[in-house]
Amino acid sequence: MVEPELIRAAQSGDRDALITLLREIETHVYRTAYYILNNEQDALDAAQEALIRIYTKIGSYEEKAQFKTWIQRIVTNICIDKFRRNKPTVSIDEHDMVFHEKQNVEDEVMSAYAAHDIRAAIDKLPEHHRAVVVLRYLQDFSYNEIADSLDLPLNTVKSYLFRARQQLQTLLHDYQKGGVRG
Amino acid sequence: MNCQEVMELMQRQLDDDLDESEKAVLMNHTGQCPDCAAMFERLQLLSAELTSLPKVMPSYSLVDAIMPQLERIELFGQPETETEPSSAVNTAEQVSRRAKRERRWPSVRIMTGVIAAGIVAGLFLVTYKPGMSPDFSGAAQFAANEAANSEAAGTADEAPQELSFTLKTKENIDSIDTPKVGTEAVPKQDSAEEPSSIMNRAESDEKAMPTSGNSDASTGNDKPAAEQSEAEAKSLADGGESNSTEGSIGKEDKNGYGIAADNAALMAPNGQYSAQAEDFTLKIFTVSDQSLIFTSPRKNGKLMNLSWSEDSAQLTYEVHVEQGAIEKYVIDMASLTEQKAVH
Repeated sequence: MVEPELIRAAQSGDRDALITLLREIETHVYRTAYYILNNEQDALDAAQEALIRIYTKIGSYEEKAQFKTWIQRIVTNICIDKFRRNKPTVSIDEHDMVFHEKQNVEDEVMSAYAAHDIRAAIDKLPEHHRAVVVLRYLQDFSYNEIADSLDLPLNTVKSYLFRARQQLQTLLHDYQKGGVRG
Repeated sequence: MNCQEVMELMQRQLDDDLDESEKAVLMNHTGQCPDCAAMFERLQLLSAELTSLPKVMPSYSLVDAIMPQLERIELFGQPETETEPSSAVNTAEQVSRRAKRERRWPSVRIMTGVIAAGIVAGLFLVTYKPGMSPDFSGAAQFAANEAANSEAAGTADEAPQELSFTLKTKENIDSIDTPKVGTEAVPKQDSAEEPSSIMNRAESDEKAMPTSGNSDASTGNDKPAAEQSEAEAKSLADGGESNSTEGSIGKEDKNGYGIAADNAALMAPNGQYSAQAEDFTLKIFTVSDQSLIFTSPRKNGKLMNLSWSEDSAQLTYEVHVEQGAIEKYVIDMASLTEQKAVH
């Protein structure tokens, strides 16, 4: 967790503190981007864009909000914009790749398949449902932290998360029936 | 408690959101309902798998990668918020996106080109005719005033010259505009318009030149020129309609003198006389004192194509009567008599 002193130093114009802060959060930023965009290159681009935005907007962060929800709000906004722009071209290719591998590579480690299946299933979720799942499981956020990050009402967050899990469960259940996983 | 309500308890249990009593309700139900028990098991498995998703790390230091951009921001202040981080793939994407956009462009470009051409042509039509005509009559009046002033001053050959030029130009504009309005295709108008207007301009230049030559010939007395300009101004005031000039052009080119407007004065080559068709009669004045030395009998047609012989001894003119018949008359300057010419 980022120390409040580091945040204050960065906000007061200490450029080294700001760079240090960015180094501490870059993995968290990247991870969210990676699972929302389901593509490494897009995730790298989006995470860099988010870090630059954090660098320039650090002065507008107010301590009444949690710093980690503030940065996740920035990165999810960038990803959802990017996701909307890329969706028609990218997601189809990703699906093709996943199913192709499933049919032909039998000796792959089972856990890796599971991760592929889950990523393929996540990729089918609408953007906000996906962001809720990513923040819940990759950032270990509570309902309230997700609500703060995505600027959504608490009940909406719960409803998105529950529906997303139900849908993922259905999708993965179908994959299991297909005999891919043990 | 039905299965749907239990579903919410299952979901909240996955997030550790149940108190003890709710947990008891959930366990109670799943103990009796195999479907819900199976569902809860699958959801727990899913949740565990989501939790164990690989904690991916960027393949390089993102902060190092953006350091040049951060330094630029330090130097030049806020960046554009939309600036995309530089990366090969991204640039390639942008290029392909741009290429796609450009592929769509040609048709758009053609369309805008056509529209622009239409607008230009339309503006030209609209501004040229009504915009210029008042200017020209204004210029004609100004020139006429100046000519009148120059009567007293005794100089200035240029005003009449300018007037005849402007008059001609106006006629030409009228003659251009009239057929043009009827034309429908915009590009056609464009192409048809340019050469004709150039030609007309050239013509009016040609016609203006002899007038100035005439004025030079009548050095020392600019009265006829002034009258001539008054006559022209009158023709403008009469509605600006040019009286038909066809046919006169050829003659003028031949003898190199004269003004196309038929009721304008036509100077003799020797500079002594000026002839003018006026209200179905032909009048000849001396240039030196502006006295009327000859008036023809009234004719029952339009007087046209006034033409001096080269030695200024004879003036010929045509009378265009109804049904296209033409009578030709010759005035002998020595005797100041008029004869119907033999065809």
